[in-house]
Amino acid sequence: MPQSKKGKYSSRLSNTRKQGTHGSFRTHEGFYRMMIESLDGQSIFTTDKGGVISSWNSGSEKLFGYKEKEVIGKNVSLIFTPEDIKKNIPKKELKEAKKKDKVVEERNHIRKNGSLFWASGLIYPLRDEKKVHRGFTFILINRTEEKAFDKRKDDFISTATHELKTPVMSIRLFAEIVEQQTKKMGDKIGLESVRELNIQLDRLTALMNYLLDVAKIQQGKLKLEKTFFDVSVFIHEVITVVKGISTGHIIRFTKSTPKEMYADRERISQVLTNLVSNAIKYSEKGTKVIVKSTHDKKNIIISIQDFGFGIPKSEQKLIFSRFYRANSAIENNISGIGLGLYVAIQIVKAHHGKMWVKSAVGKGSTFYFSIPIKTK
Amino acid sequence: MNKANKTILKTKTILIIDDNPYILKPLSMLLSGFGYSVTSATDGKEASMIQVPFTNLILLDSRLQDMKGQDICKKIKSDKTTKHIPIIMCSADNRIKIIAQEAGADDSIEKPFNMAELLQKIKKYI
Repeated sequence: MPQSKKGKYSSRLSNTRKQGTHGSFRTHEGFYRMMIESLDGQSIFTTDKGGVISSWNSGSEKLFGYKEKEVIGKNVSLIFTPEDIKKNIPKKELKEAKKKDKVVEERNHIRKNGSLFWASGLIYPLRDEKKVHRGFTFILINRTEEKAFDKRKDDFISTATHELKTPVMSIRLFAEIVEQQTKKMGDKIGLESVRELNIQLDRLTALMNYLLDVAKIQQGKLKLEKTFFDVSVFIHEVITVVKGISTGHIIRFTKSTPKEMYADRERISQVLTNLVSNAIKYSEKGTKVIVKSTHDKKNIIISIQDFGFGIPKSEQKLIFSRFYRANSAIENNISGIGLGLYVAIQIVKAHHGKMWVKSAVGKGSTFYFSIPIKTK
Repeated sequence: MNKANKTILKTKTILIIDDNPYILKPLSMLLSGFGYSVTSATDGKEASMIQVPFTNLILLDSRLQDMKGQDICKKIKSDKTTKHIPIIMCSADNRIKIIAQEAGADDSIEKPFNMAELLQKIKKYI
């Protein structure tokens, strides 16, 4: 539900509470109660400012197993798990909802009978017509099945990819033997074919690694091994590797003052390699790609600028989502599976950094990512 | 000492422990091609036989039919007569680096690797 609509709705609801005895509002209250009760697939309830439950719809009764009269006057922490209560999550969420006007959360909640379920929820602050904060509205949906399905799917991708690695390894080794033999025999066509075979094997390996990364990200298993390293040396290294693969572009690197980055070097290398390769893929041969490193007080910022096709405004957010492929990629027949930027932004986010893009169609794109500075 | 004998003495022996014949076969062929003497074992039992002390380096897969590669590694590294032998653990599991460290291996490599990568690692030790 859009924010504006929600605001109107919540203030009206609190109106009816305050002036519930008033004739016209009584009709309103009846109407809203009916509407909320009819949404019995969703748990909708309200609390006061301190988190004490003040209303409880039939969806809540179904989902949690508590009757309305059992919970009215009780603190909302009764639907949170003991672990979350220990971490002070209920209070933190209310505080954040008040501050940000909305909290979107996914977590385990606990039923009357002690069983757990995975819920995705929204918490909104309730404000009256004078914008005075009166309490909170909770909307929770049971997502246990979706969660279990997602887990099965990610486990499957992870296992399948893992199993694929062994035969790929075997093919790679046999290809290497064939390469040596054809070299000895001076068989040009054979050698050319083996090289192509190896390129395709590299692509297959990269694809499997992407799928594994996505599965890891989805399962929250992306682990970082952070160390300190010199940013300029690091960027030079990545550029050298990319230059070795692609020779058609002029890659420049301008650095500001050297700075040490505290991050998972391999993962950040994966991010930068992806962005530089994209810059090459989405621009004409012979054009420039400029890599810059700068920093402000809090972050090291690396930017990668190309002078290629550019990305229309409508696509600039979508390109960071899973399996999304830019129209220009499809139109220009550029190979890919739409996971590179998704994995890249997730890696940066795991470092508490940000990634964004500035782009104009026909002029090119500049991708930026920032990593917080840490002093030794 | 004649030339042939010198070559034999110089030749380094690599033991590959991997239960997949489609890895074992090409890997043995390639390493032989690069001048190493290669012996192989497909499981832990076979590997625990007399081969180990006469080996210069062991390439050990982490997942075998009868036992874990980690256990073989720990066993070799806990024996006075064999603990000096460098062990490179390999696996399709991308946590291999950590697995290898925990098992006390000298190095690790993730499958699928290419020969250049592997040779680089081998040359670090022998």
